[in-house]
Amino acid sequence: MNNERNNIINNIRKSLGRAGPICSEEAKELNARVNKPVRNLLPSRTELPKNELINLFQKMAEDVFATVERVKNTDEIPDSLTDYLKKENLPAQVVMSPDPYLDNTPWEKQPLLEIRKGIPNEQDMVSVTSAAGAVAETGTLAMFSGPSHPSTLNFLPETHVVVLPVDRITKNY
Amino acid sequence: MTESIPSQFKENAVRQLADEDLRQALTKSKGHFTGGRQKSIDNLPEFEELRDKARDIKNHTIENLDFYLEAYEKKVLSSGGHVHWASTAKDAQEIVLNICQTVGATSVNKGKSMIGEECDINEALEAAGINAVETDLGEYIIQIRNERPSHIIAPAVHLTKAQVEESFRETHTHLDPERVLDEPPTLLEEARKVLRKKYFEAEVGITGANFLVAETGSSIIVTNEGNGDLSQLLPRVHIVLASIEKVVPNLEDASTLLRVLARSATGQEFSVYTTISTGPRRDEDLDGPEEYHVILLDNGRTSMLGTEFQDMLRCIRCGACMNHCPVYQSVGGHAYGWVYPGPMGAVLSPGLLGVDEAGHLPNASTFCGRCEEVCPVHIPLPKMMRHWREREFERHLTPNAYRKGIQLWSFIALRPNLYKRLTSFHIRILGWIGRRRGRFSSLPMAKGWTKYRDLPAPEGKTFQKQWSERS
Repeated sequence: MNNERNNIINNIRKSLGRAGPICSEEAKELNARVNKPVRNLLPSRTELPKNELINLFQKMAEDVFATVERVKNTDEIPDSLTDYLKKENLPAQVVMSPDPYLDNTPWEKQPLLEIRKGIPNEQDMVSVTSAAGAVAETGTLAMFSGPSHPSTLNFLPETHVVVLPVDRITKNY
Repeated sequence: MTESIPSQFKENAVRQLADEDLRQALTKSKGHFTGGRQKSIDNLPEFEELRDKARDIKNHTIENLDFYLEAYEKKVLSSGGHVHWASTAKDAQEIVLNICQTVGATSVNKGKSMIGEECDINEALEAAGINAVETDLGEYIIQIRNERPSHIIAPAVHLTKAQVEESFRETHTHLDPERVLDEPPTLLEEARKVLRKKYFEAEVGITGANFLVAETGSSIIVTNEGNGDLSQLLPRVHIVLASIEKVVPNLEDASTLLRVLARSATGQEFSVYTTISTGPRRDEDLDGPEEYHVILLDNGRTSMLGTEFQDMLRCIRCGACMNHCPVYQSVGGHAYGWVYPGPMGAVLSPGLLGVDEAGHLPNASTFCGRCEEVCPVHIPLPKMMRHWREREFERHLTPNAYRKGIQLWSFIALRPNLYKRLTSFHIRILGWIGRRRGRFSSLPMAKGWTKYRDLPAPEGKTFQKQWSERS
């Protein structure tokens, strides 16, 4: 395989008219670009005060058919979730990420809600996770994979409920 | 597979033009793509500036491709992944088979990958007795119909919903034959049910990559169905198939490219899922693949570097050029006879397959220039098609009558006086003969035109004459 690698790299250099690797001066600049990226041009639609940024996030998310429910504090989350499940005719049964934010939510307020922590299986219909961040520019949620947030929770169950603390909403990606 | 090949473009096009289903399907999709793109651009005042930046990022990366590939490789290795290099499609096939056989795979899930198509990965897997399952809805439909994609982002765009229904009924024989299946949501639901089972059976998941990031050693895929994401998450092994020009320096650069990609492709602000994968699962992770392999494919790209076709390597595969191309919209993607159709295919295919095989494709253009106008990375597609035509001409691959005609024309065009005299003489003769009807329904040596439409009889003086009278 090393041969193939060298062939391809050498062909690139030959085609670009270079005899060997990029000279060290230039390589320094390129390394800086790789390791210390600078922000490129960002859309100005997010130049808004904090509260309007939340509205923009909600509008952009709803434009692509997400539903958004605003709650005042973590105490209201369990009721809000069970109301949603009822409305959508979904079972009161969720698989949840083992995530500190969700651990501090008073789920005991809804004793009938069945919660399993961990990774989803084929039968799970609803997952509940938090999101590490959210982007107002596009109404996008950002999730990082890790022990407190297995990625299959984002994709496998057909319904994904995300708890998003508003201070995690940022302007741009 | 229903084979059409690039060298038979003319025959393919004639057949496709007569296909009523194709006409219906293309008419329906076109407005959706072009209107959606325009709307999303109207919502982003910075779009033109972002396009320039996107072009500059790709140019910079291509000029330093060896450096960025080596930097990317280093990061993949340090995150516990493997990097394989493949000079040809055959090499890529062998690497994929080797990985699959090492882990004893009997079933492979595929996210949509044009490099997978370029390498005929499904055929290679099937030949080795491994079941390949396309998980993208469009790719799944054409897989069960044994066809090639006709569009790089909407592989089944050439089909009507009645044709899809027919294929589902033929394939999903385990389901109730009396079921209702005539609306897109019911078709989607059925495909989802069938495919969902297969996700859990595969030992290996193969995806493409929209971008490879040197900063982090990550591969990025964008999907709307979440299928590619599940394909790379659930199986034990994830293989990324990507061509060498997919690398970008850092995540900021990828972000700029993402800002122009979805808008140009589907008119979305952002694709539904943008997934960044870096290496295999870590010890503490609860899910994700145990092995992460990247196959970097050349397949003719290094020989486009440093030539007049280098700009083509900027392409980010959005499909805007074909969505806006009057030729593609008439003949459909299958007429182009290979993996890449439309204007980008007309430039890329001769580069990858050779001008002898795909030299016809660059002729399939009216040079209206829409493709270049909408390209998010400003690829001068018409100019490059012209370069291919020149190469075809130089290599004597064009028909004799065509060559003689062009030579005669250039002889006359290079002699202004002769040109002036001949054109004004002809215009008078033709104008006089056609003075009564104002048009010709047949003319010697112009059957190619008059077979389908009348030729208007010239009126008044030549353009040159009128121009000189004005100034």
